[in-house]
Amino acid sequence: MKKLILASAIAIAFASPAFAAPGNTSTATGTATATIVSPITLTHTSGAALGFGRFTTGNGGTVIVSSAGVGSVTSEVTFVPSSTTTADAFTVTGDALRSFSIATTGGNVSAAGTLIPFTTTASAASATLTAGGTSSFTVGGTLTLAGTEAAGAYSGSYTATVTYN
Amino acid sequence: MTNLPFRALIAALLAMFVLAPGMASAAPGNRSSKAGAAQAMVVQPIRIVAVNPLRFGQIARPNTAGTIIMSPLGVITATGGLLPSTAIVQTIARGPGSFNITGDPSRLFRLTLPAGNITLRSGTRTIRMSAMRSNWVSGASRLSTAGTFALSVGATLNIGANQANGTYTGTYAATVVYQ
Repeated sequence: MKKLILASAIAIAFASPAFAAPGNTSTATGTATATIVSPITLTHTSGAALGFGRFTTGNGGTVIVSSAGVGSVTSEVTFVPSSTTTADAFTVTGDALRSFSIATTGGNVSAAGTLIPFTTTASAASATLTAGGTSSFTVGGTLTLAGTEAAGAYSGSYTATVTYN
Repeated sequence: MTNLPFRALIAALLAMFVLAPGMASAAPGNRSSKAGAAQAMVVQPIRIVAVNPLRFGQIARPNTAGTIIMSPLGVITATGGLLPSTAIVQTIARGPGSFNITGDPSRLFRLTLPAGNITLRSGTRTIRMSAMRSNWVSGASRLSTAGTFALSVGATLNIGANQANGTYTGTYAATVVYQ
């Protein structure tokens, strides 16, 4: 009887792995994907500039140029006849239909060591590239005059940045 | 002298007779029957099924080469020129590759992912995928008490400078085996 029990135990030990073996392993195929899209590129329109025009300062004030290029003045600042103002312009290229944000900094215009500060405002804070992958925007600004600036032609720069959303 | 395996075999055959249902009606007196115990575990086969692709998402073409690492938890990190390239809105959510594994509850299993490079292709252009990793832990990952395991797979994508636009795809094998 002892032998019988021992033998049945052995039989079980052999039988168990025999059942499991065929289903012991399995393989599946996974997929991996990545999509490279065009980078966003900002180009300053050749010849364009944020132009605050020609004016007298009086005891100071501001010159405001809208992003459409329309000029206006405050306080004692006065445009001289035939003064013209212009908005700056940029073009953007990149991935079709992708939205992006626009950021512009302020800056200073200077001449002979005198700085006149300005702020800028883009025509939009964000926009979407067309199906052709292009877009554009304009930039206006506000120049703040103390009234003490010497006559002269002042120039300066600022930075515009576009970023994919 | 009969050798032991042979005797064991004979005994096993006898055991089968003893356990045969017909023996229950054996005549009393000259024979004695007693129920033996027999056990066999039929184990659920292990099975792995792919669920979601490993999605690195949309990447703005970088000026310089770099890598994007997708962790098995789905966290993206970027190096080199890819740093700003990955911070763009995704039209389809990024994520790790996922698989469902089913089989014998609580059983240990081993996972094998490609150790080398996998090539993702867009036409003739390629991106190399390497360092595949997952949430499986050697010697520790078991099927749950319900007999399931949710496998997540990440990898490193090695993108070249000015990598051409396009959707790159590739495949990899994930193999599981009982331990």
